[in-house]
Parts: sequence; C-alpha cells; structure tokens
Amino acid sequence: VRSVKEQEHSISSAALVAGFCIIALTVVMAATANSLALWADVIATVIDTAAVFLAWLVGRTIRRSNRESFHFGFGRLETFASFGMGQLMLLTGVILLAMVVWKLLHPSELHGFGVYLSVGGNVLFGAFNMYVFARSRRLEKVSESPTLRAQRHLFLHKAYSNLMFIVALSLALLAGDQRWAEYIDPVVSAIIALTLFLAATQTMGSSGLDLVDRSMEEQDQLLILRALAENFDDYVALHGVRTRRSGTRRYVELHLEFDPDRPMGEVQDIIERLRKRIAEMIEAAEVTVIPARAAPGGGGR
Amino acid sequence: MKVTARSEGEYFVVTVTQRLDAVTAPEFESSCIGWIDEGHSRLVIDMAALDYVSSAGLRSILSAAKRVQRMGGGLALCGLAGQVQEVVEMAGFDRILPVHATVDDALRQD
Repeated sequence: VRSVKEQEHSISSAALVAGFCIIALTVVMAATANSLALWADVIATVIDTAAVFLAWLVGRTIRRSNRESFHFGFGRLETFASFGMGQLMLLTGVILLAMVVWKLLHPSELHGFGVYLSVGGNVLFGAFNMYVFARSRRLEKVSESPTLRAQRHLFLHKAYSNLMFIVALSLALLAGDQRWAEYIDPVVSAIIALTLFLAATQTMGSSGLDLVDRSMEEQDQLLILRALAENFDDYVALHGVRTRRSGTRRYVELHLEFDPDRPMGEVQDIIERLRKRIAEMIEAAEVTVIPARAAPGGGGR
Repeated sequence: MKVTARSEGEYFVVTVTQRLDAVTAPEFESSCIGWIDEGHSRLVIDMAALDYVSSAGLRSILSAAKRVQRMGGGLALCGLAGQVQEVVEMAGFDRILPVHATVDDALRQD
C-alpha cells in the first residue's frame, strides 16, 4: 500500500506531465482559433504548470530528505509551497484581466479549425482536471496537506475554466457573424479571471495564516479544554495553553503546575494520559506538557 | 466586557456581561484572581448576560476554578444559555463545575 505522500507525489507527477502536453496543445488551439481566452489559457496553463511543478518539487524534497534533519516535519515547506501556488494563481488572474481589457478595446471574432479543436481539447482537459481535483480532494481528507488543498483549488478552477471555454466556443460557433459574438471571448475570460482571484485568495489566505504560526481552530481549542477538564483533579494550576499549526501538523503546548509532592512517575502518567487524550480528539496533534511553577513569560494563552 | 462582583453571604457573585474572549479574558482572569487572593474562595459566576464566550474565556474560568480549589473553595456557573451553554458543555465544564439556572439557585445549593 502506497503512503499518502507517495500518492500525493504521483498525482503531482501525472498533473505535471499532463501540464506540459496541455501547454503544447493549447498553443496550437489558440493560434488557430484567434481566441484571446485561449491565449490567456496558454499563459494560465504555463503558470498553473509552474504551480504544479512547485508541489511536485516539494513532494520530491520530502520523499528524499533525511528525516533526522527535519525533526518537526515538512509542514512549513508544504505551507510555503501552497502560498506560492496561490501567488501564481493570482498572477494568472492579473494577466488574464489585462488581456480582457485589451480584447474589449480591440474586439474580433473567433474563427478557424482551432475553435473545433479547442472544444474537443477542453472536454479532454476538463475530464483530466476533474480527475486530479477528485483525487486531491480524496487524499486531502486523509492528510490535510496544504499542498493538496492548493492543488484541489487549482484543478477545480481549471476544470471550471474548461467548461467555460466549451460554452464560449460553442456559443461563438452558433452565433456566426453576429456582432455581439465578438464579446463572448472577453466576457468569459473575465469570469475565469474572477474565479481565479477567488481561488487564489482562498489558497493564500489559509496558507498565509499558517505561515505566521496561527493558533489552532476554536473547535480544537475547546477539545483541549475538554481534555483538561477530564483531568481536572490531576494538576494544581493551568499556566497557559499555546497552539500553532504547521502544514498538516498541530502543535499543542500545555503549561501545567503539578503538586510538588507528587512522585515523578505519577506526573508522567498524567502527562501521558493528557497527551493521548488530545491526540485522540485532534488528528495530527503533537502535544507537549510542560510542568511549570509559575506562568511562563510571553503571550499565547 | 463588563465584570462586577458582590458578596452574598459566604459567596462571592461575579457577574460578567457581553463578550468573554481572547481580548477580555485576561482582564476577567486578573479580576477573579484578585478577588480570590483577597480570600473569596466560593465564587458564583453569573453568565446570564454574557453573549459570547470563547476558549480563551473558558481557560480563564478554568484557571480561577483551579485557584479556588487549592484554597478548599469552589466555583459554580449560572445563567448559561445559547452559545455560552453550548461551548461550556462542549468543553466538558458542566461535568467538573456545578451549573445552576440562576444566581439564587446557586446560593441555595451547597
């Protein structure tokens, strides 16, 4: 059975190979269809492929790295990659919008064999993008990887773009020489750019907060309190709770004061019980209980 | 948040209103610790006018509860409703601290 990280890497590898093929095909389609949306799609595909390359690179680094050199895992690297993917998606959106403005100022109709080719091509690309989206989503439920989350956003958007292209190109074919048909292309491009901004914002928002050591979700904080409540009589005072997220990992630090007359063995049992209970309730949580005599300096309570 | 307190016989009733969250919890906790250190070891926290409590708010209540426990006293909650009740139950505080419908009920118990 392949590990989640291996499966994640195989998705990125497949998406990367497909990305290169799609770039070549999209160039042919855009050149023969006179479509701004398709030229924009070439740029978008190049940048998207760069984003997938980033995910692939991170996956490869994790697979090849010596674990002894990274005791706290690769959460930060994964989050950083996810943030980078969001930035690339944002860049695609900006380029797309700039091209929309240009096309609105210089409208022209779609024509040529490339239009038919593009409809067929987008059906194929859309099916592949939906496949990568579905696999990423399935794996993300198991690993909660930020890279997979970014990949899911990216490929859902790509599949959505394919659908929009199919609609736009089909409409252009049906409309023939109608004057309004010249605006189908930029309007569809604008819609794609806006959805891309949305996906990029979501990806960067969640990754950006994780990069600055965001505390765990309120729901998880309540579960930590539940564990403390369940062991209420086992410690003398609560001096602080600090939490942070790093990629798929959750770090919990509890500063507890114990009865100084209590044997060390008993304190160790309590610590172990608390650690196990919190790890049971919060997936991927690494719990550290620090025996304290006075409130630690600094915030993070 | 607004926090006020009054003595009711051997009990010390602390009334907290509005929001008890990460911003207001430190003030609430230091007020409670001040009263406990003055010798008030039987606290009743009236949460009837509290609109919202976060995990940070509950942590400050837990700290106060531990402090009175060390002094041989106790801490009870009352007036829980809506989100406040939901969160208190989710954190399991209703199993370690006495919960009463009103301040009068809390004063009549024990």
